[in-house]
Amino acid sequence: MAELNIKERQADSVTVLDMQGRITIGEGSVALRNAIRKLLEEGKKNILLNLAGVSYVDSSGIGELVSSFTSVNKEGGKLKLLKLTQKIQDLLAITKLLTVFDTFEEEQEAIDSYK
Amino acid sequence: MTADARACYILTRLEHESFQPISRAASKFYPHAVNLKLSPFSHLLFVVTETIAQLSLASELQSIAAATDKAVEIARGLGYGDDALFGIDMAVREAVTNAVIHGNREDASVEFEMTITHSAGDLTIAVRDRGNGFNPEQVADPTATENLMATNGRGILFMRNFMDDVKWETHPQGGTVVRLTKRR
Repeated sequence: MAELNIKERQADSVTVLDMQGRITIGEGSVALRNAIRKLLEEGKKNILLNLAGVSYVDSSGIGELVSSFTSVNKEGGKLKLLKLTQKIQDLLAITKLLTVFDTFEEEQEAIDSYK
Repeated sequence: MTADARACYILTRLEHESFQPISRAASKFYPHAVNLKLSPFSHLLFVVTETIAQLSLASELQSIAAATDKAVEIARGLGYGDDALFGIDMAVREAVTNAVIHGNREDASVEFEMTITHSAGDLTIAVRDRGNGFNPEQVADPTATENLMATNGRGILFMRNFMDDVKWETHPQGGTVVRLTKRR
């Protein structure tokens, strides 16, 4: 089984990536990078990462989230985070990245924030 | 480890030649202990360190999870709770990642070493690479505004955040050792 499974779906103008697994150095980080690159190539620039199924992120995974955020911003889009587990929320607090990312508990609220 | 041994406190450095006779004497009473350390201020008080695991793995990405899982498995066996286990997992993963990526530059022909010791309630995981070393104090603060958007450089922050003590040393035979300690 892959370290990180990513399923794509559309909600209004927003592409939601439902992620399941771990975002760690190697396979998990590469899977996220490839998924974001593919969406940008397809012109999908409003991206919501649903992290409800992500159990673990290491510093490489955090770096990949930052890299994804920057890549999407450069293309004039927005990358936001949905349903962070407490542990991932703690990691973003430790790294002070909660001040960078828009995070949401409710999907509809997140979708509406892109309008 | 016996209850008596657990009651001892680790206080000294085994390597100190003048203390070795005492260490040898102590080893008769604590034969399970690989390292016996002696207080710098009292030769009467021993501290026993039990080496639980030692492994050497190739410096490749898949070794990171293998080493981390081993450390977590041992900590779980010693009764550490879920929060502590999460912290140990995070910190060891970062230490091993640094050893594989930065220290040994992902050269699979070069191994990194991990030694797990337990003493007086403390669990210490030491990870040694064969790199040229670095000064952790010179690593940029990843939480500084100008570094927030960096894509790397957060490993040391996680190690320090999730462990009670983190130390870097230059190994006498070369390479860098990072020692991660989790207290009860």
